[in-house]
Amino acid sequence: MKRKRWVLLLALVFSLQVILAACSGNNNSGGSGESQQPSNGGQSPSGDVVEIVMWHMEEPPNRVQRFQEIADAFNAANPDIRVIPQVQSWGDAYTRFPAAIQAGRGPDLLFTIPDYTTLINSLGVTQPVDDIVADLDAKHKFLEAALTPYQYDGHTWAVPLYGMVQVLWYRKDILDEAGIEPPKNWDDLKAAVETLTTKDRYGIALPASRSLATDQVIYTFMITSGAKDIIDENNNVTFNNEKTVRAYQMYADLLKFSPPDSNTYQWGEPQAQFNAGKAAMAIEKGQYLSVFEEESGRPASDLGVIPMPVADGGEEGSIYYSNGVMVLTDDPAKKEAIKKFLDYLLEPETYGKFLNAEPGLFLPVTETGSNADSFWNDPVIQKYKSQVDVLLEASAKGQLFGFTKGVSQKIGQISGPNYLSQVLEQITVNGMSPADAVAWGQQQMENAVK
Amino acid sequence: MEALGKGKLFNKALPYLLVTPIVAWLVITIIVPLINVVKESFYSTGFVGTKGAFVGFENYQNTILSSTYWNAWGKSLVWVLGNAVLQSILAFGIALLLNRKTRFNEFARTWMIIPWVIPTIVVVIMWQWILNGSYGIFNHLLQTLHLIEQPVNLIGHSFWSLPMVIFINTWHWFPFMAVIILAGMSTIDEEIYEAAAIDGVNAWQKFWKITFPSLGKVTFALGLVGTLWSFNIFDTIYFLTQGGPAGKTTTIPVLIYQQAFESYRLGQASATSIVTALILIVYAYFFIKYLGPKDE
Repeated sequence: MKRKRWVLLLALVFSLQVILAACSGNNNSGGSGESQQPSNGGQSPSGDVVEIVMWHMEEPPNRVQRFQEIADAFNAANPDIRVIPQVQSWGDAYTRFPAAIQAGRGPDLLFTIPDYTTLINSLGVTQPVDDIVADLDAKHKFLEAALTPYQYDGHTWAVPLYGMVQVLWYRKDILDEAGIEPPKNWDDLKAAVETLTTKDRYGIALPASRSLATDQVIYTFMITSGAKDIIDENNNVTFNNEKTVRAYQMYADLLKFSPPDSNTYQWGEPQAQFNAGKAAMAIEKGQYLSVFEEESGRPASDLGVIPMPVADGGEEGSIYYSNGVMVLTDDPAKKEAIKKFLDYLLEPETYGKFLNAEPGLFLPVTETGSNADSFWNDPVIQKYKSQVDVLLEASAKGQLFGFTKGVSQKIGQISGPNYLSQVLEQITVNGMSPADAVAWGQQQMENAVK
Repeated sequence: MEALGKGKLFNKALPYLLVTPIVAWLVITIIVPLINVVKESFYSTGFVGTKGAFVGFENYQNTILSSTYWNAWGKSLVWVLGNAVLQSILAFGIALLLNRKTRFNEFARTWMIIPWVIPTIVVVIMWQWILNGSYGIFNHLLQTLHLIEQPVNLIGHSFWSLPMVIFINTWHWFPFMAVIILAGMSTIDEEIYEAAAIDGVNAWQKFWKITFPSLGKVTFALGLVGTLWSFNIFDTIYFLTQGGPAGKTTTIPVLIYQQAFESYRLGQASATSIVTALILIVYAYFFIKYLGPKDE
């Protein structure tokens, strides 16, 4: 009986230990004597090495590997600093990251896009990077379109790292076979997709799901229709106008020549159809370059690209945004280490290697980067040089919704629920007219930013 | 004497000490978050991690007056009823077939549970591939048999999306129900069936007059727990359709998720959760009161 009691007591103690261990907090606060305050990121500099935890959301293995290589090279050259890249998912960025940051389990550096920055800012943890950006700008000259979306309330809230822009990709072999020239305006585009659609092939593959992918392509049509201003810096919504309606009408018309399951498409599916030769055209960013030959079985010369066709009375351009990095730590030693790392990263000899983690998709956001040998000497970039020139040319005319008339700090409330693609769904699924759907969208957006 | 007293005290305290860890765990993982949700429902909290202003019952008012909320309830009712009917038919059918002692049945009882043990994400990816509008095997078969000319996009269809999601969820979960029913059937006395056979009772009468009533407690438990579990399913629907197209598969759990993490209205989502939970509690109360097995 006594032995049984001891066994039970031991079991109780053990299970208590397990629970306490599971609930134990972050013990990264350094050596004894320091208070156990929750702190984001790597270890505080109690020893010789300053650790910087960097969260990025570039999940493809080639990008993860390249980022790690760059961090390793920096760490080797700076033994007193250790940059630790950790890949995360964009899906978790909006749901889990805020909780992690609030619990002191967030990173020191967090990759971002402009509308995401406005959301994380509301947590009150983002550090202004005015001095870092000023130094880097003096050395490397940031592109205005890359930097401006991160500047508001008198500060800069992220350091731009790479840009992305949409263009019209076309299969040169298919267009040549049909005797069609790449379209320069909407009328040509419409005629081309109709002619190119046959029993076994679609003229174009467009995303039409409720997703960021669809939002971005729709917005490109809105820009070229002349309707790039959705919301201004005072959060006044100006979505409902005839040029927006025209953009949605065009998109709905083109969807008739897109695969029937387009309303389940995001980024990957149009590219898969394009490479398989099932779609003659697609509208997307530069990720089409690196895998085209392998996935299509066609030579690089069959990959055509032009800037987005423009509507009558519209505007040249397409969606463009820079991906940046936010600083979430207020530790002075870590900030100094971060400054060193970003300085290293944007040096031309390093920056090109960083951009070519995904050649063609990641575009330079600095002038020195645009001219860097480390960027242009990449085999994929060299093979597709003329296509990359088109991408860079398109970047100069790029726009981003929520950042065309100052910076709308509530743009996250519009991009989060994917209202641009929800409006499209009202047309394609619920049978609304484009005018009614856009009016519906205006109402939803106004309610969202109230 | 003293040792005896201490021993008695220890014996009295021991049960409480032993359950303390699990109670602590329940408090930390259920009670504390629940209290937090109730608290948040009275605030205008937006993005997760931010602080909102106290708004009293405004969030509750918005929920109750929202047509979007009641539309989602409609979808949820179709979802629950569709799953209940389909799963019941399949589960009972399979259980009746497997309730005979044959070599095949012993083999089948093991392999029947495969759909249930496959992780939800794998089930979703598998069915997305099968039903894919461009290169799925389903469309390929229909086109080969000349039943359709153009591929059909069932998951993205405005009418068929919800029935398809119900079908996929049924395929995933019916083995669980079948196993429970089969276990219940094994407790029914064979002599009752023998006596019924002597009286000339047919197969349907045997099922309706003997089998089904004998499974009263099992079907009650499945009915209550099954409907509540089914109602709360989020992952299958969200992975397949994200609540689309155009909200056609937006059930209550999907709506709550969208409110909290896509529209950044945590306070509103909390109120929606509480209102929904209260309705489900009322449902469970009446279900137990009127459909619970009566002790004779």
